[in-house]
Amino acid sequence: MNGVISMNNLPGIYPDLVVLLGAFAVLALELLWPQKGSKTRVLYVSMAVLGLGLLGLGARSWGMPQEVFPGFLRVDGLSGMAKFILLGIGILTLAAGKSGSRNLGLDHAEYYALLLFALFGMMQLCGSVNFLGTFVDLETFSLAMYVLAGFNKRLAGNREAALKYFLPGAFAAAFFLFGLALVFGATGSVRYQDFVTAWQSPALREAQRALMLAGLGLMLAAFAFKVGLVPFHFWVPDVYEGASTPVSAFLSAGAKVAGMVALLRLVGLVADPLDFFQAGPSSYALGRVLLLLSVLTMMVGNLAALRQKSVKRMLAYSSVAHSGYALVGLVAVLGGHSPDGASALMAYVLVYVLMNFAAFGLVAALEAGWPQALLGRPPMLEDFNGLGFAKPVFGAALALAMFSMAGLPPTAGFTAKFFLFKSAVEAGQVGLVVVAVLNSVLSAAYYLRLVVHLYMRPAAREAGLPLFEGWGAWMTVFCALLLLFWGLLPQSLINLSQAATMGIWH
Amino acid sequence: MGLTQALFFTFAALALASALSVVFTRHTVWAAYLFVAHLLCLAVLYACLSAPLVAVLQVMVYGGAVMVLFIFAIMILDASVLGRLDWRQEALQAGLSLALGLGLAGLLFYVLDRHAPALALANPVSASADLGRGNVAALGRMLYTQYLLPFEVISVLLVVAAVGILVMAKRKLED
Amino acid sequence: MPIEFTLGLAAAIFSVGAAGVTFRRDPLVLFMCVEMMFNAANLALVGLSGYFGLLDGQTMVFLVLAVAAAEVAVGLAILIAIFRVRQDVDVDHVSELRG
Repeated sequence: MNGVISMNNLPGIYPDLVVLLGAFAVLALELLWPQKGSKTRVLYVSMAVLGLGLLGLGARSWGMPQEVFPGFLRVDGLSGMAKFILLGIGILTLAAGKSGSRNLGLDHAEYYALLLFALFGMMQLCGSVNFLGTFVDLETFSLAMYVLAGFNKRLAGNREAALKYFLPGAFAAAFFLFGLALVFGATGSVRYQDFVTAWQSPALREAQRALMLAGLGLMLAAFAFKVGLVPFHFWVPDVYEGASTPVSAFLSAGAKVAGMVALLRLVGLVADPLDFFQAGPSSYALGRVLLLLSVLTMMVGNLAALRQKSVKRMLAYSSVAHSGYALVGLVAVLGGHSPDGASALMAYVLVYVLMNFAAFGLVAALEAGWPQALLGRPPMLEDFNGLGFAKPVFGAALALAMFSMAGLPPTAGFTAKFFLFKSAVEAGQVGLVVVAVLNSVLSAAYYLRLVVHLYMRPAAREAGLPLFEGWGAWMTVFCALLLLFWGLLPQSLINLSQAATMGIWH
Repeated sequence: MGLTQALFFTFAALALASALSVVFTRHTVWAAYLFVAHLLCLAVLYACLSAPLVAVLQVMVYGGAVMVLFIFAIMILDASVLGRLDWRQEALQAGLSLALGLGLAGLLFYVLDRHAPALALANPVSASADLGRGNVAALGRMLYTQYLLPFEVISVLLVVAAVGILVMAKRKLED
Repeated sequence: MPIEFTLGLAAAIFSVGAAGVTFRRDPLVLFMCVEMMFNAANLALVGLSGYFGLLDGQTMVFLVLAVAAAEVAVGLAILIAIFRVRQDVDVDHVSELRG
């Protein structure tokens, strides 16, 4: 019978299940190993869980789209690649928090469990082809994230960050739910498939179409909150600065990947194989809105980032700007002209995650090396003075990440942006690409300012502030090497994302 | 006009009125009472809309559990702090919010007013079309077959909420 | 019951809630307004469920109720955690990092 769940479906979501069971196992370990200092073991267990998930994912080919839970969950290249990135994000987050977890107050089993629960929610979201399922997955990972944002009560502003994340998040969830109700009203179903059937049916009345678009618009607004697009970005800097650094990295990377994949699937519902921008006045409006959001997000993010002195705030605004670039890919998808829009978007998201973790990893390493007196002070640009010469390896890695964020060759940031903009040009959005390129130039100003601090400013003390050369710092190097690799050999990145987005539309 | 319809329209008016007064009242405690009233009005509406089970759940979950949480929070959080006059933000901000609220309402009304008759089924043959409305057994069967996956994910969500509340509420996690 | 009326009422309650969220500063009232928005969506779903003769809408409301209750509980826990640190819960005061 259609829609009935049987045990045969479960192997299809093996990585999700591993992460979920891992989360429960971590909670149980808290009871088994209650003594102090045992939390490093819990961290290794969490890492092993994520590694197992990656192994399971690698064993399955991405090529065969399949609805493991008919009408609810789809396993295809898109969800495969998203899960791959998400599991990687999990491992990187754990690594970023490893060295300073005591300083950062994250050394608790609950932290690891919530991280795994959040990852489970995101992984489910990436495969969801049902509005209700999307809502539930969104709420699952959001609830875990709210708490993670406020996990370290010893940091001033940490709990406030949780509240500031919670309020817009709950507001956005309500928008999503009302959009779901409107779509249910227009189509009598909450499956993506039924939405597409109704949308493409010749019997579709303009009125019904308007209702569907209104519902979809509300849902897009909800995800705009989650990934921090411009009119809905106001919470981003406060939350990223207030939360512990590994958590900020996790929030910015994880929520963005999951949100972008969900947005891709939602926009894909109405992406017209013919020409979206000529399909009708209401569709046209949606395309224009996305375009406007993209331009606004890039401009506001970059302009605000220019003024920041705190590194985490700068990275927060930069992540807002990067959502704007990613939206360029979505506009290309909506144009329906080029299948490259989706693959360019996924490649960009992957590269963004690496750049982001490279930057946040070193910030976390810096904080981990701080004396107690400095704890809770947000790292400033000046704190990186002279680091490039004091710690040549780590300094160079951070500089490379900054070049990549600015989109300069020969880094993966350049490759990804190039393919993103190319897909938009092919979709006929030349004006948008011009704005995006100008924004990239603008953004170079503040990314390179950090590089200037690294190399051209004398350190305040003899060897700069102590940098903790632990996992966090080495993670920066690892991410930077990957960025360089994909910058020099872009073909593997392109192949990966093209294979992933092959045949993702229904 | 039948009794059900009379009830529906009366409580619809009451629901809207109580919603408005939650927004416009100055005191948190009053807002909470009005909010309970609003939730109970909705329960009556659900009953009128042939959804008796949802109506009962509304009373139990919202009228009961959620409201107890709110009242509890008000007790802990010192009503005198919360009850302060709240109209001190700048005129610009107030105007902006009002414009946003009205704009949204206008948009929704516009879409619904013009297009509500156009509501239609995309696939009229649904597995549950023949089931009686508000039937508890049918609802349960649906929940455990067609909607099993979200149901299970929600069970995860509840665990997340429990762990999260524990983290937030513990005075101090052991070091 | 005319479906237009039910949906219109839901839209109205939703808008009142949204306006409340932007208007009010008191976090507890903000939570109530967000819940109001959730309830508006539920009302629309129940109304549509009856209109279509489909049980799906009611089933979804059932699930949404659980999500909303969990969300309120977490939100209030966060609020109380903040209150313990600082004896003042007003969004305006919470913001020491604006800009």
